[in-house]
Amino acid sequence: MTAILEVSDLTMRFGGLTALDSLSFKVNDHETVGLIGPNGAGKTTAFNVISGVLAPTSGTVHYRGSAITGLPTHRIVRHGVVRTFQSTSVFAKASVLDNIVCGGFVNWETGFVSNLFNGAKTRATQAAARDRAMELIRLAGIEELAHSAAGELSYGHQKRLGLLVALAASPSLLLLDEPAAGLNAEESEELAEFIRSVKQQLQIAVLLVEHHIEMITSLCDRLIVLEYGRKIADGPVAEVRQDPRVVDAYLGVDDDDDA
Amino acid sequence: MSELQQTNPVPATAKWKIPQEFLTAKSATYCALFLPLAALPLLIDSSFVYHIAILVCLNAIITSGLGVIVRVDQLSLAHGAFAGIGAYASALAVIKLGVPFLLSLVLAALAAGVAAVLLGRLVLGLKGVYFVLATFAFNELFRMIMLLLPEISGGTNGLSNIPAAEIAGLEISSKPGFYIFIALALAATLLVVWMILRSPIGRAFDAISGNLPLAQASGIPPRRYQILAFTSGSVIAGVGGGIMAAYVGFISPESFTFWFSVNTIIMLIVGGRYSIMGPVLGALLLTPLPEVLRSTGQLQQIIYGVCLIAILRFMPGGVSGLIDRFAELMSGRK
Repeated sequence: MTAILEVSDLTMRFGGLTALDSLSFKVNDHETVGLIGPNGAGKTTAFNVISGVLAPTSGTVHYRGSAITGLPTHRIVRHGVVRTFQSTSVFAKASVLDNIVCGGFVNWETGFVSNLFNGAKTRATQAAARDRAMELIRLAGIEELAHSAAGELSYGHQKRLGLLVALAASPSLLLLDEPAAGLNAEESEELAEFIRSVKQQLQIAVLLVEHHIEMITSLCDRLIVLEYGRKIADGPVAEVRQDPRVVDAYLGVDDDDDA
Repeated sequence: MSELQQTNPVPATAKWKIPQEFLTAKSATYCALFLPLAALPLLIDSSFVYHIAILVCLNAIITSGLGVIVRVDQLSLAHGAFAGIGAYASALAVIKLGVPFLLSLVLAALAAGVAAVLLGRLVLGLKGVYFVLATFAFNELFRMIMLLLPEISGGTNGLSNIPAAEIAGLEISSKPGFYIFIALALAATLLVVWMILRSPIGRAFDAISGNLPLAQASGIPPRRYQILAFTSGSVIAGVGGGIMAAYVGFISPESFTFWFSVNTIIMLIVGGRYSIMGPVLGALLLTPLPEVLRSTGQLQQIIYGVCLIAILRFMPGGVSGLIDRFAELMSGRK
C-alpha cells in the first residue's frame, strides 16, 4: 500500500482559535479512512483545507507527490481529490442526468471555439460525459429518476446524487463530509452499502467524516481520531475503538450515535 | 450527427442536436410572434415607427449583453459605461481616424472587452451587493473621466456630428436602411448569445449560478467563467453603444449615466432573464411605453411605474416566462 494523500503538520488558526494543531496523517491507495472526533475537533476544517476551501496557516498537503496546499478547489479536483458536502448539494433546477454531467466538468472541458460552434470534439466529449453519467445512474440504480429535477428528489436520493456528482469527476480520493447526516438507520445502511460497492467497482480511496459509528465501523479500514485539532489516535477500527483516550474523548460520551 | 445518436442512449430530450433544438414549440411561438413584428415597420413605412423599431432593436441588443452577465449570478450596474466605452471608441475612430463604420464596431467591441476583463478581474471576486456597488462606482467613474478629458471626449458638449453609418460605400442613414441593419445586428447578437448559452460554456454558467460551491467542487473555475460572461456581455453592450452613436449622431457622458444601466436591468427583468428572447420582449414592451403614455402628460411616470410593478408581481419569470408556459401548453406537455 502506498500513501496517496499526505497531510503534514497542518495548522489552521482562526484568530485566537486553533482549529488544527500540527495535524499529520496519510491515506493509502484504495483505503477507506474515517476521520472522527467530537464536535469542534477540526474534522470539517481538515476537510476544507484538503479540498481547497481554506488555505492553512502552516503545513502542507501532498497528493500523489504533488503539493496541493492552498490550491483553489477547482484545481485540486484535477488532481483527483473530490469532495461532497455535509448538507445536500445538487444543482436543484437541473435534471439528475445534467447534474452528473456537470459534475464531470473536468472530463469535458474543450476549447472555446469548439464549444461555441458545437464542434466535433465538443459533441464527442459531451456524448461521452452523458454516457458516463448514465453509467453512474445505473450504478446507483436510479434510472427512473434520470430526467427528474434534482430539487424534487427525496432527501436520501439527493444525498446519493451528491455522491454521483462527485464521482463524475473521476476521483481517485473521495472526501465524504458526513454522508449519513440526516438519514435514518435504514437509509444510512443503504448508503454505506452503496459507498462500499462504488469503492469496490471504481477502485478509489475514501476519506470520510462521520458521526454514525455503525457506518464508520462497517465501512472503514482505519480510523483517525481528532480532539481539539490534534490527532489522538490512528489505527485499525477495532484497535481505535478500544483506545481508552478515544473512548474518553469521544466514543464513551456519544454512544447513542445520533449526532 | 448519426454516430452521436448511436453512442447516446438518451432520447430526444438531449440538448446537443442542433436541428431539433430549433424545432421546439417555444421557438415556433417566438418565430410566429417576432417575424411578422419585425416586418411591420417595413409595411407601415412611417419614419416614427422606424425610429421606435430601431430603438427597440438597440435596447434589445444592449439588454441581451446584460442577460449573459446575469447568467453567472452577477448584476452589473456598469452596463451603461460599457455601452459608453463602445460608443466613444466607435465615434472617435470614425471621426478622428476615418475608420469605416463596421470596423469601428469591432474597435468598440475590443475597447469594451479590454475594459471588462480589467474591471472583471478586479471586482468579480466581490459577492452580491458589493459587486453591484463596485460596478455602480465604475459607471460613475467612466462618466467623470469622460467629463475630465474634453480634448478626447468633448467633455460636457459630447461628440456631435458623428458621421452617418456606411457599409461598403452604402449609406444606411435612411431610417429603413438603418432598421434593416440593426434588425440583422440584433439577430446576430441573439445567435451569438444562443451559441454561448447552449454550449458547455452556458452549462458552466448555469452551474455557477445554480450552486457555486458544488460547481467549484466539480472543477469549474468560477472566476474564469464569470469573467467570460462579464466580458461577453460587456462586449455586446459596447457594440450596441457603437451602433447607438452612429444612429443618434451625438453622444455625451450624460448619455451613459447609471440610469442607462438601471433601464437595461428593468428591460431584462420585465422581459425575462432566463430566456434568450427575454431582452427582446423587455425592449419591445418598455421602449415604446413612454411614447404611448405621452398623451397622458403628468400621469406618464405613474402609469409606467404601475405597469412595472404589475409585471414584476404577476410574472416572476418576466414576459418570456409567460410565453414559455404558453408554448408548453401548445406542445401538450404540462
